[in-house]
Amino acid sequence: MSRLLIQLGFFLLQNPFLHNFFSGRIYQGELKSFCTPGLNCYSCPAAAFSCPIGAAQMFFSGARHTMSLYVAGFLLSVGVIFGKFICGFVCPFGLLQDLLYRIKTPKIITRLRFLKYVKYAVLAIFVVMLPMFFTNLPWFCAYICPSGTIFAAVPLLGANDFLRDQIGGQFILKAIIAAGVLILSVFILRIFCRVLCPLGAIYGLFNRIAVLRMRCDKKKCTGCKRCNKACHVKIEPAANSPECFRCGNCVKACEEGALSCSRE
Amino acid sequence: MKKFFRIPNRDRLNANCNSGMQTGMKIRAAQILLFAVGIVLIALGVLRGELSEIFAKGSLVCLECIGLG
Repeated sequence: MSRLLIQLGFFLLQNPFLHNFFSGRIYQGELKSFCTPGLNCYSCPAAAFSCPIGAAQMFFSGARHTMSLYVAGFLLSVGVIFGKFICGFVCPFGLLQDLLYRIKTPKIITRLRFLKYVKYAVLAIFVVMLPMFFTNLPWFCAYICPSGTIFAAVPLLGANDFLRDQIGGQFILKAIIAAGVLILSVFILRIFCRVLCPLGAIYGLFNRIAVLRMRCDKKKCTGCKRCNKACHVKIEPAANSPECFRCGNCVKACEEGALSCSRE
Repeated sequence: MKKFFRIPNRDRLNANCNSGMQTGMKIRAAQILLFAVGIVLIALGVLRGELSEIFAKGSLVCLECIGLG
């Protein structure tokens, strides 16, 4: 079974209420109390669960508690088991970017030497500090998140005249960011995940110690470097870099079968 | 896909490129500790009623998320 099919399966598992895309309503059942591991906006009409980044910001931005223990515990336990495997196989926005990257165009294979650190600043500033210390707004959701713009705003605004009449500068800013991410995703693999995603920044921190991580069998490895050449993120596959989102290209490229993504 | 999810046998584990046996044990200890802390935090969050707050937010259209709030 290919990774794409698994991603589609997880997309449907997290977004089973597809008919809501046409009615312009969102699911309002009890499942919304729980978070999903991927970046899946809770205002997406089809979403069954809540977004962990959105939920965390809600608490930071002035609900009863300053920090959500539930969300912190959820991210910690998911991160320590799966690491960025979530980004590669579960995240719906990752799926969208992977589909766009399949469009046949010349690709820009780059390490994003400095830009890759932007996501940590986004996490610290837009997800934690601005909502906590300045205004009661979930800043990342309100001004950046392209997942919310594409999966929630577009279908809801498309189906609801009243909401459409409220469009202003904030939506235009989000739409520009979303359009930029979509266009760049055609040329650069997972540009949003690698530069802006605060959830990926958190999961990436667990990549080196996650239960499910890349392993290399030294006895089989011939040092041919085919895995390095196959990597579109330009990292050392067996090093479990925080940038690795487990696309599996390196595993496929290894003819000796030395690489695997596995548990102990 | 089978190849991707292959579970290595003990010999292959010992020859892991990343770590020796001792580092492997430290990583295992960190995994158990962090997972346990995560579960405790989830339980504490549930006990202090965070799920109902998440539900209250998630069950209504989030205007900020769609760029209107």
